[in-house]
Amino acid sequence: MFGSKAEEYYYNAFFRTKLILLALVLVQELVFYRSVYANPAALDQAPTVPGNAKLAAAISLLLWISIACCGRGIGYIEPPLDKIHAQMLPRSTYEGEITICCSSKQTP
Amino acid sequence: MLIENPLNSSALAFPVLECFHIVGFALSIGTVAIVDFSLLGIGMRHQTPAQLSKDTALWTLGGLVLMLFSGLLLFSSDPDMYYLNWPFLIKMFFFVSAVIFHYTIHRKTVSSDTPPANGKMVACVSLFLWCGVIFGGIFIGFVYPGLSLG
Repeated sequence: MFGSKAEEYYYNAFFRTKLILLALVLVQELVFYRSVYANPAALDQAPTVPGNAKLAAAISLLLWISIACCGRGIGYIEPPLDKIHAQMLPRSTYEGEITICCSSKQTP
Repeated sequence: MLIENPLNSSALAFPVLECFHIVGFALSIGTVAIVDFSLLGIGMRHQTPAQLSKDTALWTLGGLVLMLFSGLLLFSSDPDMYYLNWPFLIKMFFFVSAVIFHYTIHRKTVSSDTPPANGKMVACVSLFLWCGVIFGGIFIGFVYPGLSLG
């Protein structure tokens, strides 16, 4: 799906946010890996669910719901590719072309 | 007197409602899928389908309610368009079938402690119906104006 309109997705703010949140999911897993995810048997034995496990679950849920909402948002905005392309032209080469054109006009 | 639907006065209302709609069906269809995969013998081997179903039933119902009410509000934003949109009609067909199937045959199959012989068949039908709902929903936005009145 990304491949079908790669450039539009690349400049879409919701798509970018979605990818950042997806990266944060990985960070969350790594941060809580040792204390929560590595040893699920300990969670089963604990009389109450430990605070850090609850925190991990809350952050995970928040991130995944936000990812779904950002995904929904992608279709609602269209990045102005024309403007982006115009800004992307390096000014030096642009000006260089003008001077070449003008100097060639003056020589004959 | 023409009354304007307050939903249509804000550009944000529709997308925000869609988010609730997504969370609703992620919850309901996700929990149904957990039970169905367990009926099929894929994963969740520590609990029987009956136990899983008991644990997830409330979440399924909650998701269904959220999905249904956000869906009704979404529908109200442009009823004529939805009424003539064939993916929407297909979605409604699958949705009504899926809900009826879920609370009759599916519930009966799942509630017995030993999975009956037709358990896998029931799981496949259930997954098929719920997937039909999602597929129909996706295509609503791609077909416009839908059926012609002429």
